[in-house]
Amino acid sequence: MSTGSTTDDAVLRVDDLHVNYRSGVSDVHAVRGVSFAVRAGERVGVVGESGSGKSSIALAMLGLIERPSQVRGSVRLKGRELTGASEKQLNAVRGKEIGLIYQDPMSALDPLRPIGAQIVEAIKAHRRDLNRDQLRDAAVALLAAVDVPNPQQRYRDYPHEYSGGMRQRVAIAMAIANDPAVLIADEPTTALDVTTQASIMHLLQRLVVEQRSAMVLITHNLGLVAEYCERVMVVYGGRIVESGDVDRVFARPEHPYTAALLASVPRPGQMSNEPLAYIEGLPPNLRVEPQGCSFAPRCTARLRLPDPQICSTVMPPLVVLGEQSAECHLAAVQIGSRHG
Amino acid sequence: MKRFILTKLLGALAAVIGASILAFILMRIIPGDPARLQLGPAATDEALRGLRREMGLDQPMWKQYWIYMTDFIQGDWGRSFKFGQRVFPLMRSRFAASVELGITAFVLAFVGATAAAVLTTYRRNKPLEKVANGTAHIGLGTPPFWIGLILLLLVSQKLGIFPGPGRLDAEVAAPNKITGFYTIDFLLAGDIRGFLDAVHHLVLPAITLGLAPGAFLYRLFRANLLDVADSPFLLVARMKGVGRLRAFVRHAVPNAFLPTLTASGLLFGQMLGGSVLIEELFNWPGVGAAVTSGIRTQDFSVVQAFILISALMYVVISALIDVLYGVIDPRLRGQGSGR
Amino acid sequence: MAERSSQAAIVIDDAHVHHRVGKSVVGGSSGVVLAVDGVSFSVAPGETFGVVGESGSGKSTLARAALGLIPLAGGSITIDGQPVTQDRASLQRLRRRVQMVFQDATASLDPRMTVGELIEEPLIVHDIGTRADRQQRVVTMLEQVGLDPKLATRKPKQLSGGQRQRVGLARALIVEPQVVILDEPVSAVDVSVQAQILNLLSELKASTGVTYLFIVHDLAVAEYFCDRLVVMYRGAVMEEGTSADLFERVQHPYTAALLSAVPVPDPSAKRMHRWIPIDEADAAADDEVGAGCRFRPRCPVGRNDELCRSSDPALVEVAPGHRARCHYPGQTTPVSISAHSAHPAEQD
Repeated sequence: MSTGSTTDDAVLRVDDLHVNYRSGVSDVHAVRGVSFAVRAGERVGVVGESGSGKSSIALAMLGLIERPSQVRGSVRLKGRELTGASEKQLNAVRGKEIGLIYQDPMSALDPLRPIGAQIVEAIKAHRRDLNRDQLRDAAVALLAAVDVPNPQQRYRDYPHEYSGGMRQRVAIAMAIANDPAVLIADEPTTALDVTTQASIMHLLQRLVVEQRSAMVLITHNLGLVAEYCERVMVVYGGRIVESGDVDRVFARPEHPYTAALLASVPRPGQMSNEPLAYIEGLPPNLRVEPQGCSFAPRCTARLRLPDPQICSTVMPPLVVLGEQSAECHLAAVQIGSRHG
Repeated sequence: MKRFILTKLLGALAAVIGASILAFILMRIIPGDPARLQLGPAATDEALRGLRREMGLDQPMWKQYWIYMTDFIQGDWGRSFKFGQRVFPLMRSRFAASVELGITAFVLAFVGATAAAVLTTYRRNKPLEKVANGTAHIGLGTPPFWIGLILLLLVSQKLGIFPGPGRLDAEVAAPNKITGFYTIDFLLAGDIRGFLDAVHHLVLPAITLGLAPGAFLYRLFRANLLDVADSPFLLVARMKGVGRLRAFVRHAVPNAFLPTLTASGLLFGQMLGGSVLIEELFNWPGVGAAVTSGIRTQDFSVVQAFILISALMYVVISALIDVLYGVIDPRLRGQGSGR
Repeated sequence: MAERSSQAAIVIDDAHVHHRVGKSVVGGSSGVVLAVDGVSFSVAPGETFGVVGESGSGKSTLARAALGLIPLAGGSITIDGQPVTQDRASLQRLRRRVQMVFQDATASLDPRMTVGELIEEPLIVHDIGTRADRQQRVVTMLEQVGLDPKLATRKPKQLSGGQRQRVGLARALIVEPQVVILDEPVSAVDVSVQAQILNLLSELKASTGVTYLFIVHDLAVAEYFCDRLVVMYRGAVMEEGTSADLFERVQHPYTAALLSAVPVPDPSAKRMHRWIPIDEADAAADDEVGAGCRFRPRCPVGRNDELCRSSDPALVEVAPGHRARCHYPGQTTPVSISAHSAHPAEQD
């Protein structure tokens, strides 16, 4: 599903991505035909709950899904195809063209090695030409860039001597070390306090703008996406069910799932005697190939359709309205009636 | 860091002293009278008393202990009641033989276990995994004595690849005793042929002694590696563009290896102490046989010397392991300031 | 249900809890962390009282002390008129009146017991009812928390995260406690499940009149769900008041900073988000506190102020029922406003 950018000014273009995890008797179809494009310098949020497949998208893009699990489809970075590329080619891309910030700062660093060495590792993987002193200086500069105080000293410290927020800054430093074109942050602040979260997100935003990289923020926190992203993609059951400009999608969601998600977050000023809207039922079982829309079993909005059954039998069409698009039968009908 | 090391060493010293006291008391609590054992049932009381005085058995316990310890430190380990010789030279060569065997066995076990674990976890190679696991099963489930016997029969007698029991071939003369380790002494003397022969003779007993510990270490190490292989920091390393092998070796292996240090150390200490059965089987003049007969004849000095030295070895190894942990794992050193 | 007495459900009076911190092996330096450093507040019966704080604030420690799980080093906690002590017999009685629901439902449920057994266990421990009675109560409880009674034979691992949380809830409520302490009950679940659980908690409160002590770090949830709140920082209460007090008439710089840091998904209601940045929590800075306000090293208002540096403010009432521990309450915007704006369009 492309979202507005039709020419290939897209720095990252994903087409019909499928990820299948081999586990036990049946496969888990975590990602089922996801397509999107990210322009240079754009900030995109990927929103989904646990089990929606959103993290798998990131891993698949970097070729980090191990055999026997499979990845199908196309991932193109600046026009170059990444799926099927050799390990060597992928290694050249990881950490250089695409940086990834992992979610758990506590376990993302090797406890036995000093922080400085781990940052140097990120640089060294792509700059064989630098000597030890240059590497060290570059690493210290990176620590300063991510607002770690006393970078000269803290360069030598070990991960357990850093707090959670500081470790996440180190993770950011490692990801931006080589000026990547795309920065992917997978739940970068989930494990952090609110105030630390705000600091980290502001830092990330500033760096991304300075370096003119594109950012893909993967999270379940709608607020983060609203504050720090320009575009949003909502993932459910391994597919992108809605995407578009953040403010527009959050103000007027076209897909019932997006609407339900937004409605279930307490609004400022909402009183506790007003129950929160919630979504009945459970997330879809990804081991089973769905018939029709995977949200159908939990969707109450579809009752507004003349034939609600259609959602469980026929795959919903992609409905595009300007910069916004949604995969929904109801949206199709509504858009149709809106335009006479 | 310094205080850390000092603490460990002091603790080690306390352990050794404790072991020596325990050994001392134990030997004397065992019913029986060494003097009588020496002279036989027909001895007269006077003769017994005389011998006891000679052995120093008439002194109060603590005095005996004190005399013994002060002598021990100066190198006088007493006299063996049975052999009549001074214990120190007697034990020295026997210890050297056992330790040489123990070190060789440990090195084989450790290297083998590490290689097998790393190879089978890095590339999930089914055939190799089956071989390694199978060998481990045999190693853990079969009595070493039996394995040694089979090796001797098949490999030595039938196939003739490795020699039979003994430290050296009959024609080869023992080297000048510098360390007591034949291998090293030969090298120091420049005798290559002797060196090769000593090594040749070491192989089978070392395999026999090292198979079970090696199997244990293999399984331990492998379990840890599999655990660590799922760690986020490994994934993060790959995200930086570090190659799979490099990431594995630099990050997964050290982290997985750390918890096996203790087990490795303890096994090493165990192997140094000699094994009676294996020494018997391979006609290895080690400490094992001397000690068992010493216990039977209540040959105090021999047994005490053995216990003291073994305790010393264990404790030193243990202290070294602790220090090694501190060196490798930064979290164990001093105060971390982060939260 | 149990008769509502007019006395406070929970009274916490100058509570202190210490953590012993010893690092090196040979009895080296051992310090004491004042995890809870003089906290006082009271909760009326039937109220939903929130304790908001970040990591290190002491909120979880306080919750555990209220259950008698951790001994108090000073002060007192009284539940429904009975003081919380370490005496075994009184603790046993206490646990019929106070129950706890934990953050990680999965970890708090014994994986080898069935759902039915788990919910029945508290009744057995407190020797309530006959076997038949208990079985009946388990069924009723399951229905009340919105679970199919048929799930009673399943094991926890066969349930979803949200279902497990409901089991935790059922287990706490089955002894009909006066007070339920909820330690981050919705932090570990998805947004849609969170909504369900919160609604459920509201319904249960309406039907049983139970009092909630709600430990939470998500301010949006706190504002929505709680009647009154305290905001804790480093073991002390920084601000106390009703939901409206705190969220519309915030007095303490720390609360203000917390509020400004919360991202809001509703574009039309985005607070005029001038983010108030505060330095990250740093162990070194804490050493500078001395006799002064514990928030001073990071406080945008009082960072360099002499009064803040020399004297630890007391919790004073700034409006009826609304208290703040600050020398300059109400001055929540810093002297120099950060140039950072949360709205992307305003970025250069």
